[in-house]
Amino acid sequence: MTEFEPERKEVSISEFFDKNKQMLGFDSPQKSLFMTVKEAVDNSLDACADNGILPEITVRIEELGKEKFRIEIIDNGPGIKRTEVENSFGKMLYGSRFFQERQSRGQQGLGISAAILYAQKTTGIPTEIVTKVEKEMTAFHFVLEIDIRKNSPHTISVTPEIWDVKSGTRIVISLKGKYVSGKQSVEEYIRETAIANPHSTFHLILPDKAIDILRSISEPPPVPIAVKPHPHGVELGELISIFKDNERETIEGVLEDKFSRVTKQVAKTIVEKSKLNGKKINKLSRDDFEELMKTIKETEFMEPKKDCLSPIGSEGLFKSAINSFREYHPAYFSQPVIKGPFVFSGHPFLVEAIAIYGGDLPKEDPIKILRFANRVPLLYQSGSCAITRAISSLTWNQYGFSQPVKDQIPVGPLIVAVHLASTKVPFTSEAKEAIATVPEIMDALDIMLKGVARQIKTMRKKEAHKGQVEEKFALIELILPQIAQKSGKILKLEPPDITPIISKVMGVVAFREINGELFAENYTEKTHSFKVVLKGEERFTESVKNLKPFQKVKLNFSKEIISSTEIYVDLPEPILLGAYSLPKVFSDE
Amino acid sequence: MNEKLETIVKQIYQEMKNGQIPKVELKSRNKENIIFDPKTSVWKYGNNTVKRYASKASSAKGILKMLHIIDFVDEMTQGLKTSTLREMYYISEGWNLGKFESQDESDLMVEDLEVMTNYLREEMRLRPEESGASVIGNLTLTELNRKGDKKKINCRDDVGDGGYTIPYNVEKEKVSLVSSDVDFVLAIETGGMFDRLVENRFDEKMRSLLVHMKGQPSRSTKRLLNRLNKELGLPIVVFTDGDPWSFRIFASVAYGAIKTAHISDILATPTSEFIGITASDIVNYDLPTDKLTDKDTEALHAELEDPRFNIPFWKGEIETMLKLGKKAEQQALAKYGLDFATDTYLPEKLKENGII
Repeated sequence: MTEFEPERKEVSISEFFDKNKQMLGFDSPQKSLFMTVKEAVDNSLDACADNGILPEITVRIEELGKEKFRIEIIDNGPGIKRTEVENSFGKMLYGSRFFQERQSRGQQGLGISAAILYAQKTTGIPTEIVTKVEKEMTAFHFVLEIDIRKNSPHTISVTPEIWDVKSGTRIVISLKGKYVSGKQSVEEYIRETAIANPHSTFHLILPDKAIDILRSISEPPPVPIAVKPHPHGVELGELISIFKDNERETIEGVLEDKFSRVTKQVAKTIVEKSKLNGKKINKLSRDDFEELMKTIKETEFMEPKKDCLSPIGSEGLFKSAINSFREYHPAYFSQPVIKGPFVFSGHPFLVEAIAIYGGDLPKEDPIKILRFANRVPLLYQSGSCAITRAISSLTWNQYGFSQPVKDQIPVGPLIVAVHLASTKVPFTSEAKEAIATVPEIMDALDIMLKGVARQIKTMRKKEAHKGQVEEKFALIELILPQIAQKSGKILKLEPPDITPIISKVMGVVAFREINGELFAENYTEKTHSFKVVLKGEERFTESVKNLKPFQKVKLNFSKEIISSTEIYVDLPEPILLGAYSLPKVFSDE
Repeated sequence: MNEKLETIVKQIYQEMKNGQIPKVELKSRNKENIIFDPKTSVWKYGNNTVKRYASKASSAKGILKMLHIIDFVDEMTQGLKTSTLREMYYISEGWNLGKFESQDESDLMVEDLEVMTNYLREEMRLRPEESGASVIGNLTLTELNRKGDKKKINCRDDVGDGGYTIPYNVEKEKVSLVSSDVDFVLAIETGGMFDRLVENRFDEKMRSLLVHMKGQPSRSTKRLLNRLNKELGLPIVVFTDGDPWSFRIFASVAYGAIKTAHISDILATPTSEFIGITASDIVNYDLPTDKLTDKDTEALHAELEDPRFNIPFWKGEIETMLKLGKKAEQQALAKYGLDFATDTYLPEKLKENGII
């Protein structure tokens, strides 16, 4: 038993932090400021998500002095019960989510405590938290610090405070930091967060600007469902902890109750196979657990339940892409592509993406990749991330993008936003900056990206077609009239009437008004039957049957009707040019 | 209005009047449509034609541009003006959609018009930018100057050491050849060699007319050589550097070029003789050389495929040069002294070729 002790013991928090500064993302003033905002915002969004609240979050950054900043984050989340504030904010590794599998942003409850500790170490200013739950009449204002020797949170003061909201939390942290704009900045982080959370509204008050990003959908995503861990998804430490938390049960009982997809029968078989029949949990040695683990790994289970994932979804991705990238006037937004759920190591996951193409996006630069894991943007370590790798490994040439170096990011006016949702995102490190290249995830990304790239290819073809159409119009509206004018001028004759040529070039039926009467002339190579509709205050229709090539027919509308209406023609083919309105020439409507 | 140009416009106009998509039709101007005409011994365009219909924006713009040129030529004719090709290119700035993208484009279209009408661009009052080459020797001609006077010029006695400058238009209405007292014409590629021959009075000593081609000769230079040959019966002897590019100069003097195949009849002089520098000269005279570059070698291989070089003399010379891997300049002859070219090399070579 004693041999498990180090696993459970909480190391000195200060020592832990110092050792793991880099891993936790607090290795430079710039990144520390960024991480603090990120941890607080992620917490706020998670709290809202768990309670079905549409988040509205304010981030305010003020410069206090050289490399000294005051960061304030206000949310409309559920608030934190008075009794839990200390633990929520002050204690490392505290979190109610342990041994529950569900899609969430923070996975270990480590981040915000690290930020508070960092702030305290660099400025000596304690953190302030104001929080109100719906049930309470008032909010409570905590001044909190972390007792480094005792390794526990310490409340300096608590005072009730009037805060006229239903519920919410406000946290103020003063730290040593560096404010930047541009790449890997707070602004970029919030902008991208808004993309992955289209139901959220953000107010940013930064030292150099203020930005409001309003939500683009007004339904909160469904509350993520917590599921018991799948036996293939737990590691030895977790396995031991789960059993130690349920020492009074039988081994079979714990297997059946605390894990998903384990039936009574299977639980029994596992125990027998591991030769642990009748053993009490508190008598289990480390070797016993290892044996149990081995059996579990060898046993086949049904795949984990997959309905616990919450994708951003088609509508969300589409609307947030429009909301965020409108300023580039893109030529297209792809349809979002969602693949999954699939499973890796007992954890369900899905991937989804949207692409934004053209407009003012730079043509000569590498494409822009936006990476998200469980609705959190990933801004660092792009190169080692599964998403970047999957994009680079696609052969982009076949989709019409140049890829100067094989297996590198292609070049072109394109943004690809990719989201991975999972009950457990396999990050490459504790800083949660890059997704590991797990084979199942790579495969899913590959299929999905191909789906997106194909769409872009198709859209580019259409763009080329649009170019052709525009060229035809230049031809008939500008060039041919000028040829007519010029040839007439040289020969000192009236310029020829080019309407028939226009029709020929366009491949359509022309409608001409001659002395107030309307004629239809077929300059195509086929015979056509169609309906002519004149729309004004009223509608007037006339059918034309079998109008042969080069045939001209007078329509029987009165001059009054013709002059007071617009013409629409129902012509099944040939339709080269859709809904363009041309004087006297119509193809289809 | 120039009749043939008017015909083009009339056709375009009539087609539109008939409800047809207007077009222009001309002889295809690519390599595949260059054929040898045994009657005149020059290379000309074959019978392949291309039609450019106004159903495509690019071709329609081409037609519009052509109309603008025709109108412009008409204006110049009425005002008795001329314009350089470059000036016309700049004037096209004001032609709206008929504006040219580059001077190459406008130059090409003027040639298209030549191909379609058999008029020379000079007759359309358009001329190239570059100044003409020069002539020294006992030739008498008259030139119609801008005052409208026919001025008589002897190209030996009435000119300085720079010689008589060939105008852009050497057609009969401008220049008439009166008389000459020379045995042959020597067309020289480089200025250095031309000046050497002038200084050494080669024209007098060897009873020759010296023509400085200034590299690849202009149309007017080639046209003048053609007329000297046809009208005065003078043999044309071409004297260039010994490299693949100089071989091409000879070919264009003798047989014509792809770009001007429509007027090979009046530009090319098929009886021209190439005197050197040949690959054999490099060996026989042990001339200082440069190594062939990759581009030189490529050009020599292309010439082996070129029908204009498809005779034993040229096959042999090209292959020898490829084997040597070397080329030589005209001035390499100075290895043996300043007078070597005029006193030894040229007399020997002219004798060898039966010119003297």
